[in-house]
Amino acid sequence: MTDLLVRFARDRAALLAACVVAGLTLAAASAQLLWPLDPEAVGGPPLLRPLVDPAHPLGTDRLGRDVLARLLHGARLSLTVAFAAAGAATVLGSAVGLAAGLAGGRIDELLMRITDAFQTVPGFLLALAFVSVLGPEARSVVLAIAASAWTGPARLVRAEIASLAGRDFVLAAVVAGLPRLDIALRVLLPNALPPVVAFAATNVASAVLIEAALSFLGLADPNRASWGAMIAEGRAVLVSEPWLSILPGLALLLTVLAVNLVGEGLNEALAPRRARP
Amino acid sequence: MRLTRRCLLASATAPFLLRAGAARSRTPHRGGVLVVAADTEPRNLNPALVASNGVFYVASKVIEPLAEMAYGEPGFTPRLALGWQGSPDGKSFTLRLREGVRFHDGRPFTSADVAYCALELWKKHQNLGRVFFVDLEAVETPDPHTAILRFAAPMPAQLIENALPALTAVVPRHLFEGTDPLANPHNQKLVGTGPFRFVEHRPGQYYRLERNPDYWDAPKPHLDGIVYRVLPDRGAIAAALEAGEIQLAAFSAVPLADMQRLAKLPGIAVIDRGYEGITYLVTVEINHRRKELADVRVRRAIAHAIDPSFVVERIFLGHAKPAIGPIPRFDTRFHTADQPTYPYDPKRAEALLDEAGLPRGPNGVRFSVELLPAPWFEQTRQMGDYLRQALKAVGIEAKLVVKDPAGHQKAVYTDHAFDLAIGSPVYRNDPAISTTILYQGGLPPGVPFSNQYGWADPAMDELIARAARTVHPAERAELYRRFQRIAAEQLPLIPVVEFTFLTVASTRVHGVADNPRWAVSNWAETWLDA
Amino acid sequence: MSPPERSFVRGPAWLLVRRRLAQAPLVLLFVLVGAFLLLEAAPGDAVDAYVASLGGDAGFVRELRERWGLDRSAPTRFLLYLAGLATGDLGWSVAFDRPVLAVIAERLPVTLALAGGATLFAFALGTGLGILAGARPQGPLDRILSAAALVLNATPSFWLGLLLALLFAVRLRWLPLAGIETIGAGYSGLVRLLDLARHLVLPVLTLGLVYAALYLRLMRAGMVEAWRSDFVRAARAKGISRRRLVLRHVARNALLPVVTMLGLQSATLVGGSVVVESVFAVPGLGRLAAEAVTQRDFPLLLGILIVSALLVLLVNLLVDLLYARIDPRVELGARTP
Repeated sequence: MTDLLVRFARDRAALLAACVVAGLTLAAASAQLLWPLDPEAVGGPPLLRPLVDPAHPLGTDRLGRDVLARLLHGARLSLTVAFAAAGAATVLGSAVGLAAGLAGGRIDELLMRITDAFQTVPGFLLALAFVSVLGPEARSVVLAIAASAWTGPARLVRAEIASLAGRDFVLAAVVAGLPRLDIALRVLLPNALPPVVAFAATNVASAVLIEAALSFLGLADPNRASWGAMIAEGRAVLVSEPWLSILPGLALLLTVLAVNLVGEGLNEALAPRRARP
Repeated sequence: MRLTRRCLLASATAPFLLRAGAARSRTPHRGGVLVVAADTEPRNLNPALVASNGVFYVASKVIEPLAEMAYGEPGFTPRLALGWQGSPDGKSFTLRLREGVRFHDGRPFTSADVAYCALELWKKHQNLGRVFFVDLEAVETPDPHTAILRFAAPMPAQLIENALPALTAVVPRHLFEGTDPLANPHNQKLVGTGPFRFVEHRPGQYYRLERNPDYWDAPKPHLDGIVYRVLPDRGAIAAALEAGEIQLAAFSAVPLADMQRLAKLPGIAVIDRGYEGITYLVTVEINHRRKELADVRVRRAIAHAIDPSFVVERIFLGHAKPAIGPIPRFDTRFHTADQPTYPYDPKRAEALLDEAGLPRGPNGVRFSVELLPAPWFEQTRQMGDYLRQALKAVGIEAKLVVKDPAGHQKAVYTDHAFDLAIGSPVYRNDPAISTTILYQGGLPPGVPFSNQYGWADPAMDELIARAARTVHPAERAELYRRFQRIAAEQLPLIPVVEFTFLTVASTRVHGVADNPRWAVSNWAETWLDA
Repeated sequence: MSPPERSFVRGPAWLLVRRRLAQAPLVLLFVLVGAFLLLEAAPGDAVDAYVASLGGDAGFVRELRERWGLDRSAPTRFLLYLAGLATGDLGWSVAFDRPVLAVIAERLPVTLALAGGATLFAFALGTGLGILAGARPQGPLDRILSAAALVLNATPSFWLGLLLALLFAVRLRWLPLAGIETIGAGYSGLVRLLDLARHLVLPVLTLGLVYAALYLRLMRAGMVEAWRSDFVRAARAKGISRRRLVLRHVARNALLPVVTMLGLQSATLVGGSVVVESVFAVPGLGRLAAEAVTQRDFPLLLGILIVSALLVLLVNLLVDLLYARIDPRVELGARTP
């Protein structure tokens, strides 16, 4: 583990990105402390530009809501949804992959065809349909994103299991008479996990983008500020007040960029045999 | 054209609005295709079957009603009917029809078309007509240009007259008779008598209309054609106007927040007239099955918690007025200012809530509600955002639940799965057409835009029924003034503001907003600079 | 041990194609059942969607439900749908009041043009710049391109679209803002084609740029890997010119993961086009699907899913074949994990 951290820390870009992600998470978690304005309070002067009024450093939107507070609370929604969705997708996908890889035969065939079915449907379309049907609450957004993202980890785990199955240490465990479940959870899974973990970071990044795109299309929880919805609201006044769309877009970009870099760093650190050139 | 005082007042509210008058002295130029924005593509475009502004916006240029609304007295312009007269007992209504009118397929328009539409389409299938014409028994056609509507029960002539613009679009009998009207292909490929003929509809792209050279009011129309470009996004509509890709956007299709900027651009004008006949309200709909909300003190408290001027200024950017009851002020025949009002007063609201036995709890919350803003308008959604904050200030915690149109329709009007909702009913020139249905008890579930609130008051119901049968106009108006007073006292729903839409157009477009239903009228007088 | 290229394509490649085709019906059935269940779970049906926009009283609602067969039980409706499907009938769209096939046929070319254009653009730009970057890893050009790709890869496409529209359509007025052609202009032939192309520039750019970044990164990563491989080292030792080495050996090897990704992204591309179609008011399949959900038009939604599933299947087959052509040494079928 320390090994991993050391390797990860050697990559300066990834380290910086990890700091950014940590910073964002911290800012999102302590939004009220950092900037105590209520992101939903409609009292302020409307359409204030950024850097004009110290009471609203990033300005206000049409209803006079504070943009900074909305950005911070948007970060909270964005990150919570993204991590939860990526986590759910990874757990679900690993379980399916493990089951398919271990069971083989008909169960494997069935599970893989279901995976095919999910992969055949454009992921975003699936998420869109899910949220339209279940309502735009954070919970259903998590579910929708997970529903379209679990197939990647499932295939990865299954492939890893297939490649591990013939290895000596696995055979040894079988010969030693360990119960199948023990072999699966104690021997196979831990060894199959590293690529899945690196993949999970990619899933977090794409979950941030999907959540934003869904809320951009109007499928956002109206009770909470969300970056995608902020861009959509800003779009109505894009020409006259472009920063209302630009600021949340930049926040999105920064988040996705940082998460991607962390994922890459993880990938490199987990696969040390591929040294950098 | 005469301008009445109320129209002038209406247009004086916003500083940057323009005069539709400057161009009037000039001779209309003939020719040119007007490109306008459309944001919906109704599944059924036949106004004889669907009386809805989304349908009229396109269809009213092709298919005409018997009469259109007009500014000033007597308030109507003849279209397919030249004149009409109700009998003293209210049981018959005689229409004198225009002669020499032909449908776009060349066949003549006669009283048989009116009789067919009235009995087979309006009465049997039309969303509003099914209720409105329920007592219509027969239509006599003594000659090709006279139609007499016979009713089983008294029907005020005033009410029928008020319904002429919206409920009486006439399509050719020969294309509909003997078919299943709802599956008739001419619900999309429209055939009518109007100044424009329907050419084609490309779903997701455009509708195209062209001049009807045989229009009864030839040489009108002035335009060679109209193209409706489907642009579902409001931001895109504003940008398209600015880029000159379209010349007109009606129904406030441009975000209000962008309107101010657009109005300052050379070559673009913002016009706030031409919608008085289709005034909308923003209402707070209340589920009376919820015990806290069944208490009139709580409903009054909610009314006191709302600041209509905030809604007017921030959400409508000045293009609305605080509502006084469910009948808009524009309709001076029925509207009365003599009714209780609930000025913005959070302290009074809190006092009322305390009095109703709903004190603030340890977390400052008196009770929690689910609030469902209707998804149809940007403003109804923003009203949801605002109401949530306004209620929070008096200790009512509201959770916003936003659904798509089908989900909202089902939750509010069928399943009654809401506590509060934001609605946007339209007033159609007479309280009996689509307003009293919001207050009438005993309606079956599933009827959209009706009293699905679980509220029923026998006195109110009796008043509504009587007014709908009272033939004498003055008596009828008095009954509706009483109706408004009860509505304001009991507050079964809370009208917050009344609003009409805005049109944004290139200054090259003339003949805009020349009647109170302009956006949904025939545009025969509209023209473009050379 | 590599067999001659030609014979390989005719051999196992066709086996794989047959296997994929054999699996397709089952996969499709799963898609249909899933989509149907999802729509059944939705609050409100097609009639609710209709009256929400056009109104109607209780009797009308009942009649409409009967007319559209929505008064039948869900299993009955699904079986009826499948029975129709078996005869090649995709059903009737209640939202458009036209056959589903006709509605889809109208929108499909638009999405194909958009997604196809974006793929071509992304592939050409991505691999081209990827080769430039990967030719000298860690060189100044590589650093600039890699950084740009990293940023672009993290950019939300709808946001990029808005900014591009603001710049090129509203401010500069070089390109049309929305739609796919000048309406009522009466263009035909080449002029019409050019008009369509002009309208598609911004949507294709928006959708393509994000994927170009992805392909650039993949291409570059593949090349970095290839530089380290034994055969490149050997080729270097033999003194082959760098230019030749880059193009013939390094880039060719690096192309494989890019082609794989091309196949994997085909489904994503259709999904991604939903957002871009909505930003630029492009009447494509993605927007149609969103509309089908809003209108609760299940025959239409199922039809779109079937068509897009077939498309994805087709693209994957093409990618399999392409893969075999680029690298005959790779065992076909090993590509998919």
